[in-house]
Amino acid sequence: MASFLVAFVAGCDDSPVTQMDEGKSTLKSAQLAEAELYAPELYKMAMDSLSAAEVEIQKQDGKFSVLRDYDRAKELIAAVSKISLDAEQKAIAEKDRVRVADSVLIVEIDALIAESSTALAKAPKVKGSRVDLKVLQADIDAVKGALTTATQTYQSGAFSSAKSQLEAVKAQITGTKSQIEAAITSGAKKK
Amino acid sequence: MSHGGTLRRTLSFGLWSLALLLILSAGAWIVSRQLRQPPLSSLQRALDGLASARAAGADQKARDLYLNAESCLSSGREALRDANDALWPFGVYELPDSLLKESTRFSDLACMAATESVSLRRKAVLARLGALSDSLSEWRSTLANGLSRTDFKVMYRSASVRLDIAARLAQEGSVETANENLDSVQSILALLSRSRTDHEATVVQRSEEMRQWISETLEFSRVQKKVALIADKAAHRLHVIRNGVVVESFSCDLGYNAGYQKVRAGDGATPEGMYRVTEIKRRSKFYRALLLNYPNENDRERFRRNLAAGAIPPGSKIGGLIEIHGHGARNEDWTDGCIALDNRDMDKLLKLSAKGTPVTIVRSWDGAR
Repeated sequence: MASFLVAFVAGCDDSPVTQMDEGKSTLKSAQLAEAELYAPELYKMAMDSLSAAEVEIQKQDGKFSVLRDYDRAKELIAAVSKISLDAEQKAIAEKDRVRVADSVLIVEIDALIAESSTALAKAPKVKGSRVDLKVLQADIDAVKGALTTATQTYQSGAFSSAKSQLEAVKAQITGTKSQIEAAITSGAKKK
Repeated sequence: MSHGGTLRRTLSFGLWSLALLLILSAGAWIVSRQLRQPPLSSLQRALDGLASARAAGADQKARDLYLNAESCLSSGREALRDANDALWPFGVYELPDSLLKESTRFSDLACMAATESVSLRRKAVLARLGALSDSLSEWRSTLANGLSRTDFKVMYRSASVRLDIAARLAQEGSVETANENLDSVQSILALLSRSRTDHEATVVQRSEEMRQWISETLEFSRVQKKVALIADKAAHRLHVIRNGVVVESFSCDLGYNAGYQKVRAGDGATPEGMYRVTEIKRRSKFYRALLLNYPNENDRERFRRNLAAGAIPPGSKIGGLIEIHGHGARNEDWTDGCIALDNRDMDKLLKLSAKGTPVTIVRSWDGAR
């Protein structure tokens, strides 16, 4: 009788608690790498696998001990760890790609501002064009202000948010530069 | 039969009965464990619900509801573990099931609240964008109809640039940063509004002085039976006065900073005061011209005062060469301080004017009445 009971207990499969904790920890690392933002598909897959693993564990926990089988749960947890790791790596790479793209945008905008300011400084200051030039200078100053805000966002590490701001600023300074060129042409005619 | 044999049989029967009872109980327990199912679908829904709520940003935008969902899920898990570990018939799943369902309910609410919050925020930003755009349009027409002031135009353009950037960001869904740019637009417009109020207050303060100038000019024309000119900057009109009454009126363009009294060379302001024609130029870079005696004694005194008070940069010059000339009718204030008329009007004016003709320039004739 005793040996029968011992056999019952010995037949129990252990719930993969440690593996589950490891899986959650890998997912947390992916989260810290902002995988939700920079690798959303992989992050969602990892989350789905984690949920499925948890449900599977509960399903097995609900069974009589000798009938428990955690193999499927272990497979799902292994998938969580692998996908989380992929998501983390992809997020790091993607975040860096956006960071580089942002820094390129900042350089481009700086160059456009410098070109616009130089062109404006060289624009013919004839009677009738002075106010246009002052107003265009105001445009450049406003763009500089918006660039400062976007650069602060970039420096805070919110590269994705900075990207949309920088793109808007670039579109604006490109338009301003065209207006300066048109004003120069018009000013040259007035001269 | 011996007494010992009976006892042994009884003991053996008892032990076998006990073993049978144990086996039957264990069987019933196993069957019951297999028959009762943990609320797995409730758990799956709770987990999915919380993930969706997080993806919708509910952990930030509907924090209380999200935390409630998280707490119910955590309690549900614990209750589920307890139920799984409990001996039959004590392991019941009603409690974990209801907790998990409650977690799903909170997640759904959090998700809805977050979505609504985003939608409301977006709507609010779009409404603000529309309102500020309308406000800027009003300013455009105010500035176009009023006297030119470069500082007003600069403020207007700065606001306009920030509004364009905000519109682009709102279109891309960057609601927060769009809102930050709208904050800038709003501050610039507030500053513009304050500056305009100050400007109007100055006009009111100076109205008595202007009324005096107009009265003296009209009186001169009436008594001397001579032509005099009055330039009304606000109306962009140059009136020809004969015998004290307006006999002709021309549209005119002014300095690009016409909203100011002229204080120094290069400020783009058209001077306000009582002047006289000092020279008639039948040929000029700007078609024909009447040169005025700017600066007069009042202008010189004001210039000295401003220079002493540091109101103008050291080394500033008072300026001169203020004329009424041609090449006007551009429908904008573009000169460096002169009054520009259409060439045909300039021809008419030259016939009516002479050296010494009084020319009074006021901010607003209406305002001085």
